[in-house]
Amino acid sequence: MSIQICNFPFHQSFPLQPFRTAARSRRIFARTENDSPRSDQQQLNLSVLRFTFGIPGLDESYLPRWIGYGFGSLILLNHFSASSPINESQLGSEVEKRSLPEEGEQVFVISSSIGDSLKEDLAWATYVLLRNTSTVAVMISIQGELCVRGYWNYPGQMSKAQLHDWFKKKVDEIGLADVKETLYFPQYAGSALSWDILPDGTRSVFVQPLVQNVNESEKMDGFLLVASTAGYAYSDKDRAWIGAMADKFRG
Amino acid sequence: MEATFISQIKIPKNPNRRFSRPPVDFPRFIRASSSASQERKSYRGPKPSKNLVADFVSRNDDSVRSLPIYVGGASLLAVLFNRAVSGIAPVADASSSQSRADLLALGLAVTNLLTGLVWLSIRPKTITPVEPEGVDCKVLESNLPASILSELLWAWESLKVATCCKSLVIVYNGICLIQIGMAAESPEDKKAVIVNTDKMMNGSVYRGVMKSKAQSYLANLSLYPGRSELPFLPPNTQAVILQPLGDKGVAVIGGNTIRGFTSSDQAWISSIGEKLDATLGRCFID
Repeated sequence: MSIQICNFPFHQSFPLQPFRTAARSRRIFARTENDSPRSDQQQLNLSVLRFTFGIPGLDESYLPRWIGYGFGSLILLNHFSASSPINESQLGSEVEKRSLPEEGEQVFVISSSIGDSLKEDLAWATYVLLRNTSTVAVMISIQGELCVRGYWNYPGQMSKAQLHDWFKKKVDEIGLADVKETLYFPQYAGSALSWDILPDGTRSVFVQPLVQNVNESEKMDGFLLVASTAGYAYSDKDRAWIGAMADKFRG
Repeated sequence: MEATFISQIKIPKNPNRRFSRPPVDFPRFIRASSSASQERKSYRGPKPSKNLVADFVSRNDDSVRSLPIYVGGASLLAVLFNRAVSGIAPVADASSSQSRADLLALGLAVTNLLTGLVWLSIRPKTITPVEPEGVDCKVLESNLPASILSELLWAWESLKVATCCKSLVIVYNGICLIQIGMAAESPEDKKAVIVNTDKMMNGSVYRGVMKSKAQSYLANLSLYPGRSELPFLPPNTQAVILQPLGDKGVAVIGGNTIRGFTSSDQAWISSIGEKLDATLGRCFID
């Protein structure tokens, strides 16, 4: 059985090639063939759904391919020419693609005036944050005592104790200990002077304070700061886990 | 280093302008009080900007998806209505500029309509969480040191908040240290089913995990026959992670969504497993 659907008068002998009519009319025809000799088997053979412009010599079966190449290259062009990413889901897939800062070395400074078990917890927490998220720099402050790990912008040639005091001074200048709620900067582009302790190329910064109830003064206070060189690096789930890590030190 | 960095500073959109002065000039307030504490400097720094449109769209996903249909339909009707009241003869040829404009506008309206249909149809399939059947329980081994207790409870709180976990059981050195969250209800006394550590440790699931020393993620628990070896979990638990704690224990973490634990969750859970093993190993030295 052969069905042809066309928008001009039906001709009995219908040639297989398209032929031109007056204007640039389009012919769309579908052919279904029931070629099974057996009556109980219904085989639908939907062969070629032909779309054509009527231009001789132009094989329209290659059209999807050319459209695909054309739009694909436009998409690639768009992707590479986009300077600042806007869509969170588009960039969320690039989470693990963090680049380590070119300058700057790794540092691991921990305050000496805290107990051993707390030191161990801080060391483990900073290690886990660096490993399980795309963090390059992490700082945990508990009642003023700091643990700093990762790539930071600090002046070289200092002893560990001096470095700790230097970071403490910088943190006081920013006033990070006073932060009351979580701060998330997914498109960090540099800020005023005291924030230059963050490594070059930092794109995401997340600060989680350790005190939730401001009225209760006996809870430990402090904050946890993580920074990454990838934009939109901390998804909702990452932030939930970082909050859970911060909970460990809330006592 | 300082010079190159300054050239890269871009002022963010909502800077706190007070910070443009160097900190040396900023007056420090020292309040004398009985505890002799220095007034902490208040936070001066950028505040995060809110993206209202993005928040609105993600909250009202359904209605935004069907918006193009309404817009397209309304513009279609508007074009036809305009054509009807304008008094031009309703002929479908391209002879007048009005007709051409109408045709183009119709084309746009139809595209809008089709876009709305596409948005509605290619919605990501959300897997709904399944409320676990059972009773809430909190069973802790007695005589545990306070530090271990707080660590175990912290692990439970973290899992509860950050993942789809609804049940947690930790077995170490043959003792069930903690069984918390939702548990299966025993038919006799309507209370939680106690963990039978011997039975579990002789089961194939536990042995497999101990032998491979790696985390085991059963993403769709109904497909696994080893389900019967974990009778203490609610019967409709959807996903389970078995995390070995060193070579002496295991943490059984039950979730309420099929494939509910992401790879990031798995990495975090294995880190927590290592920490718990270190802490518990120190306490349970035999």
